[in-house]
Amino acid sequence: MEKQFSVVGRRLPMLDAAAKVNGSAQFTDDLMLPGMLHGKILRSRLPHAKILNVDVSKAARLRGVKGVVTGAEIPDRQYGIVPKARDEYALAKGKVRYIGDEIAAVCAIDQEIAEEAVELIEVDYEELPSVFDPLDAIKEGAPIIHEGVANNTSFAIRKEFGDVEGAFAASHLVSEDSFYSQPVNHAPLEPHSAVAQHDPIRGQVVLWSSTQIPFFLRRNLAATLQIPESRVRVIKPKVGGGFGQKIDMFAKDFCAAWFAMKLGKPVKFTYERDEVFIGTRQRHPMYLKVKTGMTKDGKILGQQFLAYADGGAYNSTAPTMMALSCFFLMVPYHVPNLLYEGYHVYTNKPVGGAMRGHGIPQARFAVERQLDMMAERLNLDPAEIRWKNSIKAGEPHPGGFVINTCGFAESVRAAAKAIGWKEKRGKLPFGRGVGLGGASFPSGVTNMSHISSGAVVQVGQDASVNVLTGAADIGQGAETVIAQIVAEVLGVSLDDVRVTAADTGATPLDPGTFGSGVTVRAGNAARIAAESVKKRLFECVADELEANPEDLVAKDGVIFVTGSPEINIPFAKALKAYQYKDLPMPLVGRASWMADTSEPTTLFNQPGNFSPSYSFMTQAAEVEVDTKTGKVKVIKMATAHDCGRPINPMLVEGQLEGSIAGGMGQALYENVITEKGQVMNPSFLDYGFPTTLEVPEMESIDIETDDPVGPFGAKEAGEGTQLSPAPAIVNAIYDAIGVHFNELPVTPERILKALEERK
Amino acid sequence: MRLPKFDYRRPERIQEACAILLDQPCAKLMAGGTDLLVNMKHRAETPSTIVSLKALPDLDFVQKTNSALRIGALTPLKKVYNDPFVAAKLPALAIAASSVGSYHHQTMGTIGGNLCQQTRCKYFNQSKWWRSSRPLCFKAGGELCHVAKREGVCYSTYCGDVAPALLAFGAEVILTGAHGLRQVPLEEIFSGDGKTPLKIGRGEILTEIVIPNQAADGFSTYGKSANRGSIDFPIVGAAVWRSSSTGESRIALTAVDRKPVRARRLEDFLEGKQLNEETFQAVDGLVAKESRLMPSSIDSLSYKRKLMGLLVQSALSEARGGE
Repeated sequence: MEKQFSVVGRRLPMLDAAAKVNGSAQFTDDLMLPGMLHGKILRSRLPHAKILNVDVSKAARLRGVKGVVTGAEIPDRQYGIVPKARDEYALAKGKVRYIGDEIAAVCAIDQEIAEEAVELIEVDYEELPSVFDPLDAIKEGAPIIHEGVANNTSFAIRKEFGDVEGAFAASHLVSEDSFYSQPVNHAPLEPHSAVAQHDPIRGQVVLWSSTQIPFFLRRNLAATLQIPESRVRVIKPKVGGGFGQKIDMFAKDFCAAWFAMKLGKPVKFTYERDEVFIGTRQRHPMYLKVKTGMTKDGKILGQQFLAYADGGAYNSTAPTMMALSCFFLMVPYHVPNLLYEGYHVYTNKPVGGAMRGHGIPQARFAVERQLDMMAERLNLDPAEIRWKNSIKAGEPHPGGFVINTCGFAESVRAAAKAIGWKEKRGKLPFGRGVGLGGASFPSGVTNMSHISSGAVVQVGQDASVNVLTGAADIGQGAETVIAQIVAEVLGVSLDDVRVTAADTGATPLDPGTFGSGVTVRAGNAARIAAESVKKRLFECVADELEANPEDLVAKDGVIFVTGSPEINIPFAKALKAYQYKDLPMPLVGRASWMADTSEPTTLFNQPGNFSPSYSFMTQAAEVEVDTKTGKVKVIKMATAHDCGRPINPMLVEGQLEGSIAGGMGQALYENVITEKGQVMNPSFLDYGFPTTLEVPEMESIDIETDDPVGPFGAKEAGEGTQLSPAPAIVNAIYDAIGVHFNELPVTPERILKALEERK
Repeated sequence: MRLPKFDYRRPERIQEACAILLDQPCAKLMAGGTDLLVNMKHRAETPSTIVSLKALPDLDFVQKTNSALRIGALTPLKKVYNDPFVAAKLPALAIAASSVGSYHHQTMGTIGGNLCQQTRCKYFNQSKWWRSSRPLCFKAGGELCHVAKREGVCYSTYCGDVAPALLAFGAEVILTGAHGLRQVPLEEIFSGDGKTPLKIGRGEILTEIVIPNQAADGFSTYGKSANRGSIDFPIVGAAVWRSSSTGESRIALTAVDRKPVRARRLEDFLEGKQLNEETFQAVDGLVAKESRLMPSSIDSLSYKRKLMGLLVQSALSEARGGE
């Protein structure tokens, strides 16, 4: 059979793979501009305090210092990624709320002087009582972290679908269990960095930033600097991982731009590793209480959730995070009746934000664990309970999601088979076990017009193809995927396509990399732009080929008549023909794309179809527990994954493999440990995420569906995979040693303790 | 983070290096730099002068003599564990050296530097800004120990991997000063004081490690428990040596106290005894008595205590397998 596609669906290396391997790829901190100054931020040493006075005179007098700025001097304009939850200043005004909160910044001729200067700033604090646990912070009389926010609860959500009480009454088994998910840091290898340059004649500030969201960053920067958006240009160089940590604006962005504008010189701020750990974002720690009612044969009738998220000192994405945590409880399982109550609570600790999975990993851990516990109580197979409850394509969804394609049930079977479920579950010697976890995730967001992507595809005189896209490649390969889509549409090879991306001054609007929407959203924009180019080229050569334009096909570098490949013209020649006809050059196609939706929703108030499509997956783990040392070795992980049709299976595998390392970290290794609000392990050494030596054998199985919305049938493959590895591993630990762990991470110490208690 | 300002000296003769140390009490020696430079970036150590040892001749060698194996202090760890005699006859040393940090540390780091590394503490090995949230700790020049919550003491922990292996071998070291050299048991250079963990005279430099031939005549191993398969310091490390001819045992541990410790009570207990399940019963209790565990790292003390017994038992049962 002739293969359907030539470029899409192929395992092609990322466009920038070679540059990253040989070290020539330029990240923000690699940028050097003539006369560039270096900045450094002074952060609070106290968890909660009034700032009485900031004396910068000594710092300002230090030789080589060019500028100092404090929170008192910056415009009174708060920012935040979610408009209704803005609560943050680039530099704190009047009060600091966690150890690490930004107070002032300096700028000097070199890094050494900047570091020295920042230590010369004298801050008079009036220390305030602090609170470090959300369950304490909600109590009457707890210290107030933000004025006017009662019980430190900055966002509350309560949603009921169906009749939960009725469902519990009709259930054969109702279980209620408590869970805790720990703070996890994204730990991108590239620390956050920003370089700014000001052009006083054009009145424009250019910011190069390690960001996932160039266009939102432009908006936040313009708003906080109080200048028009058109006066800010944000350019994203190579980004060494984001995982959600780089979707906010940070003090380094604001301060670099501020100093560049004040001093007329380029300025760079790069965070130290401990600043990345302490002063950016982390996955929200969450306390969860889950009550589930099931029939005798394991059908879920209703679920009730109570969630307290530890937000740290600021909101960041709080409302979205809580809403996702709620609505995504109703996929991949059919939950007909759901009551969710969730609270985002301020504490005097590092700030929670979006992290791969965004509020769902915590909830998914609780559900996937409880499913196994209930399966045991009902004497049912945990794999069976999962496919039995699988949501199906076309099925009405209580929260209003429209599920066009769903390979979940199949993914459970495939993952179980790959791990050897039948032969192994409950049958391996003590210390070894297998476990499963399922998940689903949105492919971007349908809800707002500012979540749209544009693309421009341009064919030059030499028949080379240039794509302009606002999409932010942060290492996942967005530019490669977009280039593959364009190459496939035009029937050219990947080598013929060049991508210019993520520059608000040159590329069309794009919301950026979050919510796992890039392939579907920016990919569709690029696809439609390329199709419009193709259409005009077909119209031009149709006469020559004696065919209707609708009957032409572009593939493998030629345009031919469908069914008669011998009647053809090479792509380059077709372009020549276009020029000989004196048609205007360049040949340009443009498109803007947003997911179609009848009822736009942010999910905060009303339900609705949050995303154009939903990915589904099951991950299966086999583990070996050393019962002497308590150490868990993950032997194998198998992932069966429905991401529609993968545009580049190798890049999808990269996402899966990364999610396994991330899931192992969440399950076994990682925890941002704090002592009175101070992070005790803010380094790669002490934080201790798994390395390649810890990563197990990995198998990925593609459950291909053909999604009607995504480009070439693709759905998301970025974040969803991060939801199920941790519960799969913890479920496997139960199979290995018969202990239920409902708190993360499962450390060797906790395993030994549990084994002793069992004796 | 950038390094603070310092003078840099690179003497080509050992006496010159010793003279600089005598002349400048705040000078620090640097071999591979893998320990010192990180502490300097954190401003946890701020020497006025760095005396690089890299230009000193003839300190990078592994040499077998009639009575001993001699290793120059500047020998990189990688060269130590790749030495055929070390690999074949002194496995505890080979295992320990190859378990240090990452490959990069093993290439840059030297055996002398590894022995003389700073003690570690979760309140000390942090950036200067991080440490500003608390009063300056005793080790960094203040009064209070945040681990012991007392003034005038320091409970930072010695975490070197190589020291326990060498202690188990009964190794000695050569200290070279301006007026000559002296050979002392390795154990004697560790003070047991967290603030100044090394007991090496002013102006003296550790130049050589001497491992007696007797060490090669027996079983040895090093067990390390760490968070991950690479990079990490030991949560606990334990070396065991057992003579093939006399049955004598020597056991040493790291990451359990302010210095690497010999488990003498256990050694005495094992004197003349068979290694069997019955003798192993006593290991946990006897090993626990050898150290003063303090919460200087993020690892829990009860877990460390368990690992101490476990690692020693496991090494001893390996030794029994060889007998």
